[in-house]
Amino acid sequence: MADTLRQTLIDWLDDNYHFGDAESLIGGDDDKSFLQHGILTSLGFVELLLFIERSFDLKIERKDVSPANFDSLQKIMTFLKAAPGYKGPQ
Amino acid sequence: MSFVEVEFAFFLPVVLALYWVMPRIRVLQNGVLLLAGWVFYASWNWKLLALLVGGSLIDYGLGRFLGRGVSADDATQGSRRRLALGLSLCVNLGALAYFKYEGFFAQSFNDLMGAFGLSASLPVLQIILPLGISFYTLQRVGYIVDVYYRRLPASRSLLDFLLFTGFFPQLTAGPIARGAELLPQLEKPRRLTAMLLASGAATVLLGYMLKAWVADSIGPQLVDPVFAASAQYTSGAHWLALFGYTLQIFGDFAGYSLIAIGIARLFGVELPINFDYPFLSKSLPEFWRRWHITLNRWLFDYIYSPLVSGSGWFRGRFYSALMLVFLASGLWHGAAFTFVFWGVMHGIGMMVHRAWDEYYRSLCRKDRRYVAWRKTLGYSLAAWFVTQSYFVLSLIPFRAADFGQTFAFAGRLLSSGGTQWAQVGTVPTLNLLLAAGFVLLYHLVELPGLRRLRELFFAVPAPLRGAAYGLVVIYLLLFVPVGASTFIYRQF
Amino acid sequence: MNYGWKQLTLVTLSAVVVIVIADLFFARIVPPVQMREVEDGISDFARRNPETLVLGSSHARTLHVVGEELQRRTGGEHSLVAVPMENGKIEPYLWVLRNRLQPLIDERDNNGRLLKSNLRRFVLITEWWDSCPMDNNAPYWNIPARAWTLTDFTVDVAGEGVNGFNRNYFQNRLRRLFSGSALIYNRTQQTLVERTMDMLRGRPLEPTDEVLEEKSLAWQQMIEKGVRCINSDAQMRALADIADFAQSRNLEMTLLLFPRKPSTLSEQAKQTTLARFARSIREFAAPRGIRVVDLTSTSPLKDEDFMEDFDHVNAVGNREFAIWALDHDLAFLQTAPASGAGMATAVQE
Repeated sequence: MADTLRQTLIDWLDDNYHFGDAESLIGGDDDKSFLQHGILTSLGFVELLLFIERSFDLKIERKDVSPANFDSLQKIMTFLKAAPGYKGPQ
Repeated sequence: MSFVEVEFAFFLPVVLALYWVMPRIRVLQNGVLLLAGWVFYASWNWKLLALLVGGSLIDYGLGRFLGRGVSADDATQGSRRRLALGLSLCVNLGALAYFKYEGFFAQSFNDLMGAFGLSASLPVLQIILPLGISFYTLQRVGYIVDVYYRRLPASRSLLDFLLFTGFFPQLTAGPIARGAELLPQLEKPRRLTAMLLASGAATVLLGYMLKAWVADSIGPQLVDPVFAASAQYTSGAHWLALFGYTLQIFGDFAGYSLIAIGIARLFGVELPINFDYPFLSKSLPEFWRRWHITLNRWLFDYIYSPLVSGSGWFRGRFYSALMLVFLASGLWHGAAFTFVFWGVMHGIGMMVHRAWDEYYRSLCRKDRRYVAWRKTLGYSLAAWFVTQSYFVLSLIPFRAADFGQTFAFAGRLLSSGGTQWAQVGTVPTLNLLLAAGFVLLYHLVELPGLRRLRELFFAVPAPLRGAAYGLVVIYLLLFVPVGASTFIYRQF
Repeated sequence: MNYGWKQLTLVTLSAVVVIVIADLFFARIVPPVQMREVEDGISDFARRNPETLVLGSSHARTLHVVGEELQRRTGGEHSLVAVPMENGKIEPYLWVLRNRLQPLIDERDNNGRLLKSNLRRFVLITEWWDSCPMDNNAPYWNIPARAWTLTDFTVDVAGEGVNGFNRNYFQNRLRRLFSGSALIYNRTQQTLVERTMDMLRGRPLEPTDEVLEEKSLAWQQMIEKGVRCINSDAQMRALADIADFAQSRNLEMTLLLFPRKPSTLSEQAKQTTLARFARSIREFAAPRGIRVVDLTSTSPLKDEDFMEDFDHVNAVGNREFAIWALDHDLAFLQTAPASGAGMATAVQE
């Protein structure tokens, strides 16, 4: 696992969907909407969710499963770092 | 009453005028809309309006209970909340099951027992299907689940909530809105602008073209005769009927959805889009993100996602969850084994796609060239062709009356002893070609390179644009079949 | 996109202008013909106090022209009002009589005197087709379409909800609302496109002899087949109810079997369907003292006096028929009815 949370997420996107293009798709704008720019589809979000829960040993509450928390790199990072019990990379 | 029926031409202007002459106060505006919705529904069957309103009242009460703040005694509260959720699901899904599936399940059970030599006689009731129940049930269930998970605050105003569950543009056939989309709009007064009227009217016109012109011209002329007497028609006529049905069902439902969205917009309310150029899709998952969007995202949000990411048996079992979702979709579309079969076809399709995708992803990880190949025109075209062909073929059981007809029709696509060909005169043929061409054009101008064409149209001076709309109306008056047929999706 | 009221007005106006121009253009190709309907007959009857009330199929429209000729000849001394019910059938006539005409017939002023004090005669225009049931036992959609009031519609909707049957009321209201518009009014006739195509191709609008012959043959066969369905129980019962009503109001009743286009009548049809229907009508009428005028094949109307639909008499034919009929079989309309006839002397129940 990479040493920063951001890199961990980029790696996952590359490994599963973009194969090296994730960074250029995001294009330096960490607030870019995944859904609107086709970076991740709704089916992909479920996989990301499972990945996060598995990797960081975290249980994400159903009420938190929404685009408000997961639709961009920045949103995911903000949400996770604030999550109680989060011990993953910063 | 449906939007393409004549009485609606009397109903809509009256409601619209009443709505906008009201002072701009939420209670008055919502009152007019709610009353209009009830009149609209009662004009179909006033007795079953009670079911709609009664169910909404129950969900309003349960929603208020579920939306209360967290109390000190968390354990008791938790179990009571689960009880409230369960109660709402029982009432909603119970009513749906009773009205929509009683006959199907009772008949199937009796047949099954019969097959084992037992005689069972569960009564097969001839129940009238309440208009829109498949749509308003899902919208209310979505609301209750959202409130339960505290993703959405419970609606405080009974008036707003009743309107949320009885807003006439979407009442009979969607789009199925999320609470978070629709409720906030109903909680504040709407303001009339020229943009609203213009865009609403243009959307209604576009929807009307797809529904009353495209779908209702193609269906009776190319599709119905072949499905009615399949053996008499040639293979070519079967292919024509199948493609015709594809265009018909798209025109029918996408058109009706657009009319609903356009009418809602005339009242200053924005409904979610329901079709996003599905015939451009290059994979089945993409297709379902573009076709009947509000149903598929509901199935995804409230069935697939909780199952796969929940803690039960389905956790991480993507394949099984996909099959379950499409079985549910099949049953939602109709209480018949042909729809179940259709659901299984798409469940399998989604599973095969996922297997292929995982395999291809493993190739991509090894070799970057696969990533580039996937972006080539050749790959795109092949993917598009496979996706669309699969969808088109899956419409055979969707349209056919039973399995016998399904397989007979499918067989005759390859070889048919029939000699008849669709019998259409010269002028109707030109009209049908134009209708099919219109659906094609509708999709093409969404392609990145051609979007400019649409912008060009809106840059044309207003009088010319008006003239173009005028010509469209004239064409529709000349060519839309009189007494255009019923709306297919309303039966679901 | 910035879209203001000015833009919207411009777009709407130019759309309307284009549509109106097109409508005028199409009105030149196929002019919207104003047909006389039940509603027109009822409002005439409500306004006037005629001697003769005519009820019947769409053919009763011709009797309206007879009425005009009658007015001209007698200077208003003898008068008639015709109520034509499109799509015929005797049960719907009974519906119109009971629900729309009876209240007017029995209406009295404050002193208890009948308002329709001149009414002495009742003429029913019919033909063999009216005595058959609807095909496939379809409901009488012409009742909601042509004869209902808003109250009838509301009552029906309250009981049944809006459905394919009562929707006919609305459809026909809409058509009448736009009766000046070729695009809307002629929509159901599906001739606009064909006529325009004909015009663009430079082909004459007249149908060829071949087409005419084919159409005549189809009509002949239809009338021949009619022998299987004529004199149905329900329609004959309705006829008896109509006759009873006329009798109860002391009205001298006439049954007029309307002329058919000569080329639609084969010898076989005359000897079977038409003969049998005429016979049953006579047998029905004789004991009740009802006059029967059978003009099915004995009027001077020629093929060219009929419209393209092979069914209705055209304007020229109507004039000819009016003059001829008042000289011949309908001459009685210019005389006073038998003494004693009339509402004023009727025994009221």
